[in-house]
Amino acid sequence: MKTLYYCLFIVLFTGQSCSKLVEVDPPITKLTAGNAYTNDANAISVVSSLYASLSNYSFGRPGGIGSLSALGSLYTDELGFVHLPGNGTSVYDGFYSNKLSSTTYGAEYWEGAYTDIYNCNAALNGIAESHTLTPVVKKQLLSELKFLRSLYYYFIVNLYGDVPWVTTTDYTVNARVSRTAALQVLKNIQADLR
Amino acid sequence: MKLTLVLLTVALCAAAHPVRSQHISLTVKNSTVENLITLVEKQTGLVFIYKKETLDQAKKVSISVQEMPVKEFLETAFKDQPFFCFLENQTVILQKRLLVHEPANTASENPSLDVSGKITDTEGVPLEGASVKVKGTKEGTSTNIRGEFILKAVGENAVLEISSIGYQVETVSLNNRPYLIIPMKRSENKLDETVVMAYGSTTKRFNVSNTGTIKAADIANQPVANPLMALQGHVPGVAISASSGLANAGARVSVLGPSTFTSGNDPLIVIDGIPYTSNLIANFGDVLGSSGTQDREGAAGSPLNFINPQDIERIDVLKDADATAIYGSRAANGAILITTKKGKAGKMSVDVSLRTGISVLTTRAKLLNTKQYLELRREAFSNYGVVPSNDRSNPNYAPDLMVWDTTRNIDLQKELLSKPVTYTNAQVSVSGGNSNVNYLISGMYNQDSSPIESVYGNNKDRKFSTHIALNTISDNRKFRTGVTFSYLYDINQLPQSDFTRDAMYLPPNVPEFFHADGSLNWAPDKSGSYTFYNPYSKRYSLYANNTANLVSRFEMGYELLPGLTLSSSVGINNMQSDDYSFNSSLQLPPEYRSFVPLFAHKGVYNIRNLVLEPLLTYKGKWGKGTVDAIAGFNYQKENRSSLSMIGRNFRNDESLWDITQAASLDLLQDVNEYKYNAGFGKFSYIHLNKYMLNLALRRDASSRFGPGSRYHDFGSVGTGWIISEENWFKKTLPFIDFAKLRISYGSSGNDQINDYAYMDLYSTSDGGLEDRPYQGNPSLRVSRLPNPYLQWEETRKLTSGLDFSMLKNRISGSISYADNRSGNQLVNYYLPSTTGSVAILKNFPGIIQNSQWEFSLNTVNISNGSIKWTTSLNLTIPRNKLLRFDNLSESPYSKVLEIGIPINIVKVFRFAGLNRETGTYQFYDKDGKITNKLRPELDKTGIIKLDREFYGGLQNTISYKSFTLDFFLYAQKQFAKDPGTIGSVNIPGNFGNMTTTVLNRWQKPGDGGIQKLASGYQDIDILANALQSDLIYRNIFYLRLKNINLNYAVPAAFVSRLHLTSARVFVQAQNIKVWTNYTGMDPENPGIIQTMPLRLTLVFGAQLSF
Repeated sequence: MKTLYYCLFIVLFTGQSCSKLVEVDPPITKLTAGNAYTNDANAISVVSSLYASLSNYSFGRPGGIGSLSALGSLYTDELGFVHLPGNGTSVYDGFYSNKLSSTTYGAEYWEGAYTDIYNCNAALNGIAESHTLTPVVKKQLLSELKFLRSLYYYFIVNLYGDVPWVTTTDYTVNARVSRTAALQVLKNIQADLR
Repeated sequence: MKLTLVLLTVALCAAAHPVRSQHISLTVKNSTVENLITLVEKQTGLVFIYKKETLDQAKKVSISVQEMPVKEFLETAFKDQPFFCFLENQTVILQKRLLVHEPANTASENPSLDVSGKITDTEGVPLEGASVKVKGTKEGTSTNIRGEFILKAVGENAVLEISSIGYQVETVSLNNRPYLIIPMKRSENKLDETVVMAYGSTTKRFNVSNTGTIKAADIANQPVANPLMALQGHVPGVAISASSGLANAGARVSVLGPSTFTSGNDPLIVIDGIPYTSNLIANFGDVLGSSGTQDREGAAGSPLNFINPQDIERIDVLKDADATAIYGSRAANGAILITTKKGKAGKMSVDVSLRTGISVLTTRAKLLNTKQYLELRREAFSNYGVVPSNDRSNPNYAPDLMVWDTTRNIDLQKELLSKPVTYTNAQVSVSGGNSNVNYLISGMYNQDSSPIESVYGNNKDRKFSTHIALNTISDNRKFRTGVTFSYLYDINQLPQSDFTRDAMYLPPNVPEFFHADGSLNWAPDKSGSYTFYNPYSKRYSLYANNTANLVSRFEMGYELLPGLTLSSSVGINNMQSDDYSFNSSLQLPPEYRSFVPLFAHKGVYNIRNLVLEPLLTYKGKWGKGTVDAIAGFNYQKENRSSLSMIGRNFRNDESLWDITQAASLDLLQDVNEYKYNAGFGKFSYIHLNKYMLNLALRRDASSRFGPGSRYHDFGSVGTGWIISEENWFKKTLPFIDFAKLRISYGSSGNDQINDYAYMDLYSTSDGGLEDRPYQGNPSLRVSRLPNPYLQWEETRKLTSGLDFSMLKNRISGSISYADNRSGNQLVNYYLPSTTGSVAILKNFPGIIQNSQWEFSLNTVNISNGSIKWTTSLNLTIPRNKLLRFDNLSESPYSKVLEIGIPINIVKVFRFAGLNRETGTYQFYDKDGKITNKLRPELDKTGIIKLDREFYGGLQNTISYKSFTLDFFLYAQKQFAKDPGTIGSVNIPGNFGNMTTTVLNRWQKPGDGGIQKLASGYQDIDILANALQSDLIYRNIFYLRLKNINLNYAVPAAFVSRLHLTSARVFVQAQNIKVWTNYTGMDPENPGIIQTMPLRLTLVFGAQLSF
């Protein structure tokens, strides 16, 4: 009998909390993609982050001297640039003396724009699939997102010409996408904004 | 503090058990034996054990002695009694003599006798499974869990032979005694030493795994605060380096070489069976240097700084599949098992040790003196026809030549880094118990300091720790419980950054650091602006860290059937820490103070770890072999959370102490939960004490993987053959005492990736600007590209080896070869920008091979009477190779990896020598043409392999009478950047000191050596090429005299007069000297010039036991 007690005791001692095993809840500091679009406030916050990014950053690059206006102005000689000896090559020099190529400088805005385009696409999918948002909010947010996405494409089509037109969040598709003709991109923008 | 310490020690000594004499002075007349026993017990503290009836026919005793040794006294006093007495470890056992002359027991009729008894160790703890044989017959049995045995009908004068693994064989003549208590002495044969394994232990003899061990004595010889540093070089296959010489610095450890591209490469650390965190949470302590492995850096500091090394009984490193498969998932990178000290049954013993001394930096780089420096600087200017200027705005501004006193000559390494600081360590431990309960309690105080100081802190690292171990076992020896509890509190205060780079970089004629009033000198020029960055300004910054660490475990077990035990344990680990850091305005040159904003950082970190582990173990005999089997379940939950605060724009230095006084405050919160569970089984069989078979199987689940791929099975097979047990072997090679062949194959896994990587998450506080609110709306943003298909990374390990011992165990050693292949790699796979992400974490069919030769050799060089000299040597030759990477040439990894060579490489330009005409460096392009116009994407055709080529350690122990001298040497060889190759940590000829190698330089056409010195950036493009070329790498070898320990054991006669059981005094030194071809300060971290090198620590100490 005593043996039984001991065994029960030992088994109960550890047999307690193993019910959930390896299930974990998402961290409290984060929301799952599902929850991000269940209510208006969350969905608005997602769209707000795109504006926050646009105002604090310039297509993913730090603002100020690294912004599109600064580098663009260097490129078009609106701003001058003094090359100090020994400073080697820099992004400013690259833009100022038109030394742009796929291996040196010039890809800066390409990367930043596609990060935000991904966020736009994720939000567009999430909001479109959500059935719990207030219809008027849903409509406004979808419109804002389409505008924002168009704005990014407008900038990069002007900077780079033909650019890949990406509308999904599936990285396997997006990794293999090829360039769309610049005119077609503009037509897509037009269709989005109509 | 020191006073407190002394008081503490004295208090503990006074409270200890009163010390009793081992000599007896006594006079009795016609006393009963009981009475005599009481008197003796009182006087000596001896315990008498006997059955009442033993004394039935005892005679009265009359005796008078003065200062007689106990043993002699007992013999005298009980000479003619009808019982035996024998003394064993403070216990006197009285046993009835069988009276031979009694007719009932006449030998002629029935010469047999049933004998029973108990086999114990020297501390009275019963030994299970000991074999008891009647010499010269086939009769024999083995002891039960209580150490008891019964042998029926043996001759009354038979001789019993008792053997048990790990103990010396005892032969005992029965002499008519029906009941015997036989204490067994520990074997001194190294083969019978215990080897701690996952969930159990074995002996060196039967171990078929590749493991390595260091013990408490090895740790005690080294005045180090991190147990990993005590392990460095002692175990083959384990590469360890300190990431800085500051107190509480990070420590990098790699057990099997790099087995993964981007996930963590840390070994699993297990303390008393509980997995322990191998990396801290990201914090603000960058000055401490990071842990993790060389190339996959973890957070700053090392979690093992918060474990008291002196509470450690032993550290076992498990390397191969046989040893690690039972830890399954997380042991692909090996496992480090730390076993803490437990109590020992017996009389209470008190152990007090005190070590105190200094710690000082002694390693130096060879740098130019002022005369040499100024000559070279002037040459650099004249090389290009440039005139140095004292005007700040002039590109040829040279304050060292034009503003400063050119007659000063300062040894900056001495001035800035070589201040001796104090080191103190004190530990008191008390242990004891009986056969039911044993206990150990200890307290420790450790104080180390750093040679760089902050004016805002006390610049000390202080640790306070307590450790308790308590074990109980029921009278029937079936139910046992145990608890261990360790708590350590650490306070460490340092400046926020290290001075080491300044010591290498600043010119030797640097101005005075202080004004006469003690304030910082910024040596302003005419315009009033500072001319050098005063390194002592770093004193006006602070990094303070407080950490409390609790490691605790409770376990209990019950023996259901003979050999079958059900047990269960719960382990808790909680590490709480907070840090605070700031730079005050005094850290800045005066003219900057008005506009540079003041920052402070505060972090609060918490790691909680809970482990539950029920186990079923079986030990028994199957036919001619023994079986050891385990089945169990493991559940673990780890929560890591941090709250970091960055305060900006404080109004003044006084307000910096309070983070809430910042004008703006950014908060970052990070919460992680990790769950893990596993079911496992292990079966070991030893047949005829010469054939071994181990099977292990484990099913693991980790919350870090997607719901569809959380579970994975791991397993291993290990076999061993003690070839020296074969008769033909004994005949042909009689001088070999022992030889064992072993081979094992199996798999283990790695899940060292971020938590939640499979979830699609949106976050508000990743700390970036895009997370800030926009027009009052909080931001919510995609965290990262999720991958729900993540799976376990898996390493398949094949290890074979030979262990041997020969010439009466004077030479022993082992050779191991491991071939480990890690596949299903978890890679942060680079993606094209169109995906919106830089990379996605995914499984990739790349395979990394780590093959490794390990050698170890232990020899007894001299062993005659008073002199003994032993040596142990180990050597590891690791080889790493990328075996498979699909479509490598088209992948983004083509620039950093290549099939067939190690993964830790750097691709470089190939150096083509100095152009002796122009005095500039030249390089080969990809076609082998000599040029200076290089294309980084095409011309980097050279490959530098960065892993260690070999490493090893040599331990020597020489003892002569009461003296013991230990010294330990560590050596390693690896390619790394060497500042001397281009003559400087800066551009040679520019402002900043240079290594003496620069004296061999190009001065005129035809010269060789270092490129033409330049006062500015004249040849910067060529130098930039050089910095990306094989020129700056050297194969760096170093040999470090890492430890010396000279010990003097106070002679026994003197010790007993002081009422002690043992006493020793010792001198220990750590990091004594380095021999190297490296031109930087310390090759511990070759190529890294900004971290404090390892310091020489020299301590004197004493240890007393009573």
